[in-house]
Amino acid sequence: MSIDIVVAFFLLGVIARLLKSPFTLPEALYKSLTIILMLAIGLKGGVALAKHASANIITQSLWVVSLGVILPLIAFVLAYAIGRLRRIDAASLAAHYGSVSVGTYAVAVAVLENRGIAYEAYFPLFVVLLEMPAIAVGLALANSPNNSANKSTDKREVLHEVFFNQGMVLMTGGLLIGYACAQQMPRISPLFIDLFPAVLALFLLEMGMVAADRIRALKDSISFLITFAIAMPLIGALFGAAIANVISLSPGGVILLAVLGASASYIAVPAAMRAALPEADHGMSITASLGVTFPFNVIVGIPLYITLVEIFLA
Amino acid sequence: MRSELTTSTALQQQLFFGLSVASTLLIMGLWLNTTGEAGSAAVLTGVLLATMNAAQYMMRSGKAARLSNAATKMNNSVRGDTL
Repeated sequence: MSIDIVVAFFLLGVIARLLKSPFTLPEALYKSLTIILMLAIGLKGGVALAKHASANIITQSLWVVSLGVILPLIAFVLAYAIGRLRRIDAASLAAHYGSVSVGTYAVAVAVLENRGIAYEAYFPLFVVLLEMPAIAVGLALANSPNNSANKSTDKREVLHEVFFNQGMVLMTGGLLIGYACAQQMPRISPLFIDLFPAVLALFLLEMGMVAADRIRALKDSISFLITFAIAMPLIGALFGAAIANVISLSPGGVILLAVLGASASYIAVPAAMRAALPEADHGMSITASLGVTFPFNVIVGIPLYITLVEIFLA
Repeated sequence: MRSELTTSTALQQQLFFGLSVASTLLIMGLWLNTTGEAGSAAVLTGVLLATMNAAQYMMRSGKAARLSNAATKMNNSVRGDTL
């Protein structure tokens, strides 16, 4: 079994932490890598959108948004009814699993490009669209007559977080710049396009170390949370692939939408939930999404989804 | 975490959920292996998940403690016989 080179960096991060190596990536560098990744994804999508813009994309986008509504509902039912989590914690966790992980998407894109599998180049548009609905659904699910957290909810702050969080601003901004200035892309492509795999590798090195740290934080509900964090990617991938089939995406597109459905947010949603539901257990959600789901998708999930899609669509 | 987490029904539901996810991964991984694809990672994850869920159920439901007590009693009685 050959391992993708960027995934190998993730494993290096995990092993470094397990061996208690004092090595750390400077926080400023990690933040810079995140910014470059998000801008690069947006720019690539913008350029592709300029080339392939059509009315069909609007229909596809509506279907993709429906995925962002369905998944948090399923996650909430599992977390509340089986996991017996508090309503507010289940809603917060559901929002994480309805949204997407840019890191997981970037890994999937790198793996597809490495294997020479074509996909719809305007996919970053779907990544941006999938960031928002889950947060809104999560907040709606958290709302109950007995929920005291509502009192402390500052709606303006929440709306600001939903629409203007780092991921939304950078990816939407990159998308618009790429769309408007597609002809001038060669001027900035050495950093945003040519260096993309190397930036992703460094980002994954840090993520590996963070994931190894987070997994130790799971205590009481470790069994259910790990199961949930592995079940949701499988369910999300199934729904993602089904919707991708309905909107007639290419095999590469089916794989990417399955990966988006399988991924869980660990950048945009935690920030929004922290502002909207301060009483929720945010540590639990981010531990599940970053400590279990992200490594599961990178190591087991993505190769599994690619194989299954290749078998079923062959 | 809600207070009824450790009730028998809740524990059984969580065990069923865990074993369902684990068996899905196991079956998928084994099927992939038979078709010549790499399914070992899925099989391994399924096995680990099933073991973890079973162990947690045993510990939380008190079955592990009862088994441990029974083993201790048996050990003591065997020692008594030999002395």
